[in-house]
Parts: sequence; C-alpha cells; structure tokens
Amino acid sequence: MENNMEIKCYDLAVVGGGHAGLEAAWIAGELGLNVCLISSKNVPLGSTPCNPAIGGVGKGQVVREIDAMGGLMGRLADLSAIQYRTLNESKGYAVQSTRVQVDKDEYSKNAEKFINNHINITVLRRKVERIDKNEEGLFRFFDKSQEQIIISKKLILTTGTFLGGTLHRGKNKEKGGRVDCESSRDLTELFSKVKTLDVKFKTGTPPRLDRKTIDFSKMTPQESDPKAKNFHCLHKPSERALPQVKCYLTRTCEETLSIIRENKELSPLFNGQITGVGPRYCPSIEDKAFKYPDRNTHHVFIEPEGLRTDSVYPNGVSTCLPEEIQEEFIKTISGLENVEFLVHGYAVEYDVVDVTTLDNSLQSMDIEGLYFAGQINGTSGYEEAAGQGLVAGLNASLAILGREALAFERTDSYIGVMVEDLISNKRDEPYRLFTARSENRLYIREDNVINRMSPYRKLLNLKSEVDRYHKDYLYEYILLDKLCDQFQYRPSSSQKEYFLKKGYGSLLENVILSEVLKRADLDPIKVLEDELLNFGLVFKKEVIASVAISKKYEGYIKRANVETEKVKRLNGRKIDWEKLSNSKNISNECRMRIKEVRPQNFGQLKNIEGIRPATLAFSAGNLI
Amino acid sequence: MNLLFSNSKPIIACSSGLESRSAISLIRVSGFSDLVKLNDFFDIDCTSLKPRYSHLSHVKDGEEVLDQVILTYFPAPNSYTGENVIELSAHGNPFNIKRILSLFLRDEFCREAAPGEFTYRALKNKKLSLSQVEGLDSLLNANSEVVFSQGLSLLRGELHEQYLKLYNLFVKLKASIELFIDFSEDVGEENAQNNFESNLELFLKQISFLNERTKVNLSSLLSPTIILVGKTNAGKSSLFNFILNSQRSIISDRPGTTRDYISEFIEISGVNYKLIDTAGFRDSQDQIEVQGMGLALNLLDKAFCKILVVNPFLGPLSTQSFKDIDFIIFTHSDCDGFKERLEAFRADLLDDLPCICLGLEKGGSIGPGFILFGSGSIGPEKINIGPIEPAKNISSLSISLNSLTEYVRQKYQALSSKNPIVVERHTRVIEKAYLRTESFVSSYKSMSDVAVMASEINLIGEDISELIGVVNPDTVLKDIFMNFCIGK
Repeated sequence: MENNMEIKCYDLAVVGGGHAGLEAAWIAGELGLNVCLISSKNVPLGSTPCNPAIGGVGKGQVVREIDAMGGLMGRLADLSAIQYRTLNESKGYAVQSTRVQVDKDEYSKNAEKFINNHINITVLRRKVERIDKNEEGLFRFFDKSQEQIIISKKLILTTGTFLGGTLHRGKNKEKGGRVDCESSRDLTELFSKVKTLDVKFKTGTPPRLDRKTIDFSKMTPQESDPKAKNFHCLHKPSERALPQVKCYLTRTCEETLSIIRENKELSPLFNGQITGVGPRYCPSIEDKAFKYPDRNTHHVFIEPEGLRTDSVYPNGVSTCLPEEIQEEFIKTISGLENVEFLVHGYAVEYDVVDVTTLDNSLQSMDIEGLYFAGQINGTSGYEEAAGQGLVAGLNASLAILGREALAFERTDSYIGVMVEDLISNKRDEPYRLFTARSENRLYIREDNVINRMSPYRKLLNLKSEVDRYHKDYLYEYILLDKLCDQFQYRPSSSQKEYFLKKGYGSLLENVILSEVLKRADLDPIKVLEDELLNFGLVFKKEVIASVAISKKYEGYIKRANVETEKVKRLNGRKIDWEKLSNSKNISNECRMRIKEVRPQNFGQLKNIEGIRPATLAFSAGNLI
Repeated sequence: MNLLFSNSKPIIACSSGLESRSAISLIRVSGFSDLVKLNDFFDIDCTSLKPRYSHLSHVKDGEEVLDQVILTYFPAPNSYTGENVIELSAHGNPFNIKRILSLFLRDEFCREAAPGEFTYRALKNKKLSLSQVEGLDSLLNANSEVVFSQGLSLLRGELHEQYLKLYNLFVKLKASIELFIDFSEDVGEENAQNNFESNLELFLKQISFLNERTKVNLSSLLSPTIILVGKTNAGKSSLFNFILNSQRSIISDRPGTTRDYISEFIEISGVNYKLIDTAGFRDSQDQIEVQGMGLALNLLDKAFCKILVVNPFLGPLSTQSFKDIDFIIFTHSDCDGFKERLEAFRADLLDDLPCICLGLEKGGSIGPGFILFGSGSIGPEKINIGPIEPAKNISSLSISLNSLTEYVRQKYQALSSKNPIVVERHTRVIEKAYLRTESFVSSYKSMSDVAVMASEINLIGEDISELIGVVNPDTVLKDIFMNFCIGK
C-alpha cells in the first residue's frame, strides 16, 4: 500500500481467521458493519488443525446455539460433513448431542466462500507486526516495515495458539502456532498492556497417517447415522451434502505402551522440556501411559480427514515423542502395522490471556474496544472458540452501533455457561465445555435451541430467512404446546382399549395429552407423532420433537428450577469481598482465595474453588 | 434467622434461666448505645463504670430498691455479642429476677431476647463462626457427657471429618454420573455404569451412617433413667432400696424435687442415672392407681434402661405389656419351689434377656439390709434354670448386682460411642438427604434417562450443601480426570 493512499478505516478488525474469527467477522457483517478479517497468507480460513470433527456432547448444543443466532459454524459443518453421529442416544434426550466428521478442505473452502461473498467483509492476507491505539481510541495496524495497513474502531483478537507459540517434537523446538506456520509473536506493542497468565497452556495433536497403508479389516467400522440431524435450521434435517464415510475403531496394546514407557526421558512432556499445562480431558498417549499405569489398552479412532485426501487422524494418540518413536509405537496398533506417516504428532505451548480481566462481552476491562475470543482465552475446541467469536463479534458490533450489550444467560445456553465460567475464575488448564458445567442441563438441549435462542436473535433486529424460520417454528410450537395441554382423553371403553393397544397405560379418568407424554417408559416423540397423525394434524418434525421432550422434562425442570431460583436469588446478593478477606472468622486459605478472585456476589464466592462451607455460612450471614 | 431477629433494639435475658432456683442469677443486657440511659435503673453513675470491673449497686424502680447486684460492663466490640453489654448478678429468687426483668422491659428500654438471640448477635457481629456457634451451643447446653463431647467434636472436627468424607463420596457419585454422560465414549458404557453403582452404594452407606447417628434416642442419654417395673408385690420397692444402698449418688439429695413417683439418683461408672420405682401394675378400678400406672408407662417409653421385676409366685407374666425390656430380676429365689415356678415362666420369657435371681436368706418382706441372698448372674444368652446355688453372704449378692450395673454401663457406652449428632440443623439436613438418597436408590434402575438421574443427584447435593458446601463442577471434573483416562 502506498503512503499517499488513504488508509482504510473499518468499524471492526478481526485478527485471525479461525473458528472464533469467522463467527466474529460474520455476525458483524450481518449487522451491517464494515469488517476487516486479517489472516496469515498460508493458513486457510476455518481450518481444523486437530481432529476433523465438529460437535460432541455439549458442543453440539453450542453449534446449534451459534446457528440459531445466525452464525456460520452449523452451515459449514453440514456442508462438509462426511459422517454423522448422535451421541448418548440411549441416555435420554437432554444429553443427546450431534457430532459430525468433516472434510477439512471442504470446510475451509466453504468458509472462504461465505466470508469472501459477504459484502461487508474484507479479507486481508497480511501479517500484522504491531497494533496500537491512538489518542482518538482507534486501533492502528502496522506491517513489518512499520507501514500502517488499516485503522479500526474495535478489535477482536482470535489468534489461537499463535501467541507466543512453541512447537515441540522430541528434542526439536521451534517457534510457531501450528505445524508449517509461523507464529505471530510480535503483537507485543499491544500485548504489553494485556495481562497473560504466568503459565503457558499446552495442546497436542497425533500424527497423520496414510489411509492407503492401513489394514481396516482388523478394525471395527462405525457407520454414519442417517437419522442424525443437520445443525443448520434451514437445512433439511437428514439431507447430506457429501457422500458419507466410515470411521474405524482399533486399540493400543501393551507393547504400544511399553515402548512409550521405555522412552520417558525422550518425551518433552515428561523430561521437563514442556512446562505448559495441558488439558486433562484430552491427554496425550504419553500422559495415558504414565498417569494411568494400570491401563494397558486404549481406544484409537481412525477418522478420515476428507474425501479427497489420504490423510487420516488417529484419535487418541496425540504425542510429541521423537519421530522415530512415534513410528515405532504407532506400528504396534492393530491394523497400523505397515502404516506410513504423512505428518508426525507434535505439541504446542502458547500464551493465554488472563480472562478474569475480560467482561462478559469478552472485552478487555483494561483496553476499551479490544475483545478476545477463542483459544487465546485458554479454551480448547472449535465450538468453544466459535461461541466466543459470536459473543465478541456481536458485542463489538452492538457497541459500535451504540446499542445495548447482549449477554447470554447461563441458565439458557452453553455459550452463557462458558462465558461466565471463563471470566469468573482463573483457569489452571484449558477450558472445555462439559454438560456437567450447566446447572440447567435438562433445559439446555439441542432440540429446543430455537426456543432458547430466538429471544436473543430477536434483539439483533435482523430480517433474514433464519428469523422467518424462528417465527414459523415458534408459532407452531405455541400451538402444539397448547394442544397438548388441552386435548383430553376420556375414559370411554373404546379409548381405554386404544390406550391398551398403544401401550400408553391405564385410562381411569380424563387425561390430557401432556400427561400421557410424561408417562414413564414411553417415547414422547413417538407418542406425539402418532397422536397427531391420528388427529390428522401436520406440524414440523422438529417442533413435535421439542414439544414432546419439553413435556417429558417439564416436572423435573420445574423442580430443579425451584432450587435454582432459591440459589439464584442468593447468588445475586452482593458481598463485600474486602471485608471478608480481612475477617477473622474465615480461614486463611479462603481469605487468600477471596482476595485473588474478588467476588462481587455470593454466587461468585460460592464458585471459588476450595471455599469452605463455614466461609459460605458466615458470608451468608453477612450479606450487604 | 434474619427475619426473626431483625429488631436491633437492646435485648435482655436471664442467662442462668428462670426455672432453677439458685443463689445467684445472671441477667444480661446487650445492644444499648449509651451508658447514661442505665442511670435510671441504678444508684451509681453508670457512665463511670470501668469496663470489665465488678461494681456493687442497687437496682431501683424510682425510689424503691429492688435488689443489690454486682454490675459488670463489657463495652463493644470486646463483649460476647460484640455490642455494649452489662451483666447483673442478682439474687436468684425467680420472683426477684422477674421483677428486675420487668423493670427493664417496662420503659421499653429493651425487649426480651428470643432464644439464641445473644448468640445470633455474636454471629452477626462476627464474633463467632456458624459452626463455632453450634459447637458452643452444645457445650453450653451440655447436661451430659454426650452432648458435651458433641460440642467438642464440632470444634475439634470429628464431625467435620465425617462431613468431609460425605463430601468426597458425593463428589465421586456426581463424577460417576457425569462420566456416564460426558465420557462414556472414552471409558466404555459398562465401566461407567459399574462405577456409578459402586459410588452410589458408598454414598448411601455414609449418609445412612450419619442418619443412624441422628436417630439415637437423645433424651434417654441426656438424663438417663433406670426404671423398675413389674406387678404389685413383685419386690420392686425392696430392690429399689437395696440398689440405692449400694449405688446412691451424691446428687440424690436434691431439695425441692417433685416426686410423682419415687426416684433417686444412683451413679454407675461416673454417670448419674435416675432410678425410678414405679407403681405396680395390676387390674385396678382405682383412678389414682390407674393414673399412677399410666405415668409409669410413659416413663417407661423414655427410659434408658428398663428392668422388669418378677415374683414368679404371682401368676403369669405378660411381657407384651412391657416393650423393650432390658433386664429381668426374679425375686423370692429363697422361697420353696422357686425353681419349679421359674420353669413355668420359661415359655413366657423373651429370648436373650439377661436376668438375675434374688432372694432372702429368710422368707418374708424384703427390706434393706435383709437381702443376703442372690444367685449368680444368668448370662445374657438364655435364662439358665439349673440348680441355683444360694449365695451365702452380701458380697456374693453384690456380685450378682454387678451384672446389672455392668449391663447399664455397657449400654450407655455403646449408645454414646455412636457419637450422636445433636445439632438440629444437621439432623434435619441429614435426614432429608438420607430419605432422598434412599428413594433414589430404590428407583433409579427404572429410570432410562441419565439426565434425569443426574438431576436427582443434584437435588441430593443441594440438600447436603448445608453441611458440605457446594460441589462445583470443576471439582467433579477434576475427580474424573484424576481417576479415569479420558480422551479418546
């Protein structure tokens, strides 16, 4: 860019084209803002550098929440999915989640298509060396030669593992956030003011293997589930954009683990080379070998990375051992005896922002207008990143438009759970969503995502196909909900016989349809579908499912809510953390923790790890 | 609690209680702002009261002197409640105390303290933590060793240990259901299921154990009674007198004790028991006697130890009318034909009850000093109706009584070593959580929905959060990651 050319000023600049960056840029574009998405030259948008899958328990809900808000992830996942699964299918509707395996190249291709075609989004393939904030509060972006590239009113940083990233593979250490990519260390001007955690976080990935050299006959195949539903609400639920493929299950054996155990001193994770904290829910094979010495076999899922590539992802054997040892132990796995490596596994350590310095729109409390989203915030997972991208993108946009900020409640979305968890507690390991983190799991389901998210979407004041879908859905939902509450079965002999025939149980007095849906051992969706067919009424399939499941859980949710309400009321009560942290009635340890976290209300106090009951009882007696 | 004690007016109470008659009673007033206001009630200048020194003064109602008292002033915040406090040591006549209290109450200077309000104020003013309050409460109200040690155990942490164990087991239980939901792909369905079941069992065991500890019949431990029941003329009164002679407690000479029945205190291994001689049981039309029998039955219900006294020459027994008898004493073992009579009772007797046989050297009325004759104890296994060797002297009789006192001692020790939980709040919480857990255990197998099961477990968690605090999800997740190899 020439000096004499006017430097373009954008409403919003998003640095990083990963899942967080995509959502942030996309929703801002949808809201009519002028967005610049800055991404490295050689990294495709929306890449999936680790496992080639979107969704999962809890995560599937997040993808649908993003989708209901008009986000991208659900669409991209549907369009590039090569295998579908419904997890926890036998464990009740509340904990069922969708997961798809995606074609990595296809996913990025679709991401590029959506972003490039958006009229309000400009993609800039430049490396930013420095960002600062001028006196007018505008962010200025400079390249290597200190030349100003662009200016923006707000900035969202979604640089993933690239911030201070170091790759490890055996003794080899190199700067970088991902294999074959440079790291972007030099945002230091800006980051000097941003508080990062003292410890680095660590993540890892397994080697990539050549499909042609695998003996699949020794493994258990897993088929795609044709009944699993697409993420995007406007896609037909069981339509498939791409041909479906199988995944395979194999396992490590004692030999695999003994090779690893014999080479402990060569493992950067165990010889002191890596000091970063890795996620315990996603351990490397080294972790598995050393931390669980009793176990002598572990599952390995063989997942294809795409339709046109021979690369497969062996899920479960993330490693950063030296290359020759990786090859040695991988070949002990049944079916992989003659396998050839395409890429070796590695670990990456990266800097993480101290998220307790962010507010619930993920904006820095120290630097106004600067937002953070994704792995840079110490989370793991594409879905978590995308969810934060949406939150940051939405709120940066609303701020530019002079509109009120939007905060997702933890009682009605996993995105809300995640954001609150993140900002209210210092994390000592990468954060991932689990359904266990929600107090309201029976309500935060996949099936009722429109009910949960449409009030938020409405606040955006957009008129798109998604909004029309929400309106139609809700119209039908309310109608069917009423019908279930009002339609009565009278205990006539013919009705009794019908109940018996259908297996609905006894009919001794007038019973409304809703009550039948609640009866134990009945599948509420099947019952409601059958009854509607009987009545000759037609409703959207997803409305029927959601109404039926909501009825089924109604009593449980209500009961849990009574408790939650009580707790919520108490949680909202203000406390004086300074006073508490000086009180003689509180143990030293608790006082230290209170000083560190500075809880504003009882709820935050309660969530501090290691707070003792006596402290809570005392604080409850001393509410402001 | 907050609503109950919302009024911040000064409060007054007689801390030593109005019921008992003692030489000195202590009256406390807490929460007044200014010593000047006290000048109306005393004949010394209260503003010059030296903190924590005793001052002799008169309490006066206008010109009338009500009592001479010792007055001590504890200024805030270094008093029990953290507020300004005065303590009056007044003469302990209940009438006198009432008169003084009503003087302070009359001009609305203060109001009567609700039970526990002094302690509540202490808690509120950060003088005590809640668990300390509970411990202190037990210490102060301890009228028996058990409650006293409970108070200590709260402060020392025996109960805390138990609650900690409960906490850990609950974390495990919660972890195992979350494992089932979020990670069954990682650890395998069957593994997850088995893990859940074994953790549920362990949790149930601990909450049942705690629940047991709340179920101990406290009243029987706090002021334990030993009661003698049996038909009229069975020999209860003679036995009563005899036991008294050998075990009489020093505290038995309490003046002013009302006696609707005859009772005295005896001491066995350092514990004071009230020994009660009840009216005999027989069919009677006499109203007074019927009432007396009713009273005996009532006492019987609450008794710590029930001794059935039987004269085998008095016709058949109806053990059914006396529930939970601890011990049987047969009298008249000196009389001719005793062995044969005893044989006749064999069928009526409850299994496994310990018994002894007592008798006189010479027939006739049994009175103190006359009992010279006893059998050896008849073991707790079953009544042994073999030849009963008459004991020839007092010491052998005492030996047979020893088996009674030994029984009492052991029973007391057994009950009190269960460390009963006496704090009302804990008892309530434990009971609720126990019932919920039990009903969950009996019904979860029919639940096909794991999310619903998890929600039930969360409700149990909310119940016990009062004891163990809130179990936050990070703790649960940590437990999972520590014990299971997660990550496929």
